[in-house]
Amino acid sequence: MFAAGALLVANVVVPIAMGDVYPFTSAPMFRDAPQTYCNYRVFGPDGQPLPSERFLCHRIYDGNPVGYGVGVKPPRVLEEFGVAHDEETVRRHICEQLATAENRGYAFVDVEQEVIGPVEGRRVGVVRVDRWRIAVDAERSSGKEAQQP
Amino acid sequence: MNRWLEHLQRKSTPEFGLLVNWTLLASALVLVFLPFDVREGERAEWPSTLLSWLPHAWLYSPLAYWLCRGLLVVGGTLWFRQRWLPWSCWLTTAAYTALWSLHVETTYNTAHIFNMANMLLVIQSLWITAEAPAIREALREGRYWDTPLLPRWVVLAGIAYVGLFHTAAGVSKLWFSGAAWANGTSLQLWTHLWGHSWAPTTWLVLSDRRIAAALQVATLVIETAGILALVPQSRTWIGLGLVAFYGGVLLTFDYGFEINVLLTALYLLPVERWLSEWRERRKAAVAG
Repeated sequence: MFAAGALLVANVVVPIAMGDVYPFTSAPMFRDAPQTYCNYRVFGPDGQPLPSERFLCHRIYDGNPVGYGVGVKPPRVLEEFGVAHDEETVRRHICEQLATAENRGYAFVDVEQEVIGPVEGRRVGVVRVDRWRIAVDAERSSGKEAQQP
Repeated sequence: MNRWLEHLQRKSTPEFGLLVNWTLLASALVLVFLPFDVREGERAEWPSTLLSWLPHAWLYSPLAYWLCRGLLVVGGTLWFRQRWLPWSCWLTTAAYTALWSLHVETTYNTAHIFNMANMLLVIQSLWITAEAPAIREALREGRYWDTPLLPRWVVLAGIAYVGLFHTAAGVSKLWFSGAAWANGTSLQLWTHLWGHSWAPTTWLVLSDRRIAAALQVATLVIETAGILALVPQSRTWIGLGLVAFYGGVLLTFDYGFEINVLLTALYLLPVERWLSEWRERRKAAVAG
């Protein structure tokens, strides 16, 4: 009986002191309150969509705090639920990805940021869609040197 | 104080405890057959499970997964057949904890779908350990169903845990986002992204922010009040609220909280009383 009491106390103390250490949890799912989110799509020089994972633009967030109470650090993706990154942040991230060995073959990519948030009529929907052509340097970003990887 | 301790020690026949055990063993069966996505990457600095101290290679070893699965099957089968008590309970509980821990250690996306069952397995194992001689004797003499073997503290510890689990969920929301969590927009965004397009609850949430906000307020109230389920007068109401909440979540999203809703319903709805009444009626019918 006292062991059961200690277990209940541990279920209060451990999540407060150490965070989620399975099987102890503070049940943190959906504890955030996002007011917007973005979908990112990446297109190659030929206009064809590219896997967003390749440019770390995919979504890791699944309602749980990203990287909380898990053993593996999640990749540093651009998508951050609740945040609509500005153009500069998107360009910086994509430039870093274009510099990786896997993506070095692309002269440039087009990145589409679809922002979802509150719209008229007390609903949510697409607020705006921005599309940027991004290359490692300004000269290549003209798109004239576009080439297939 | 003495009266309270006496109340905690008072025993009833074991049908409710056995129903909980079977539900937990069913969840173990689900866990055994669950495929896991193993992710590579940098290790988190902070422990995320009770197995975080194990070497990296062990956590990623397929042998470790199969060993846990095998032990879970062996332990679960023995416990279901009431053999090797209380060792079979602890074997089941340890293998269950280890198997899901291996998953949590090797991923960056997890879900809180086994925490509740896992903790309740510990509580049920404590029960079997405390009562093992009496249970074994009752089984041997064929009077298991008629012997008071389930102390009140076991049921109350389960109720307290289920309540605490939901209170933690409510307090987490208030702590990290404040009362503004329930402004309707966040629920609409989650539903917009992940809600089943065919679900009436998806249409309802997306149709008007005020409805979404009302549902979030209700969620916040019912989750935070979870621990009040320890008060017998409020238990059924909290149980109904939480079951309705899970119903909405399961209808709208693809989140796998079926085990949680089942266990919440078992503990917070008057299932124990219904079982006991059913048993009495059956006894009377046999005697009559």
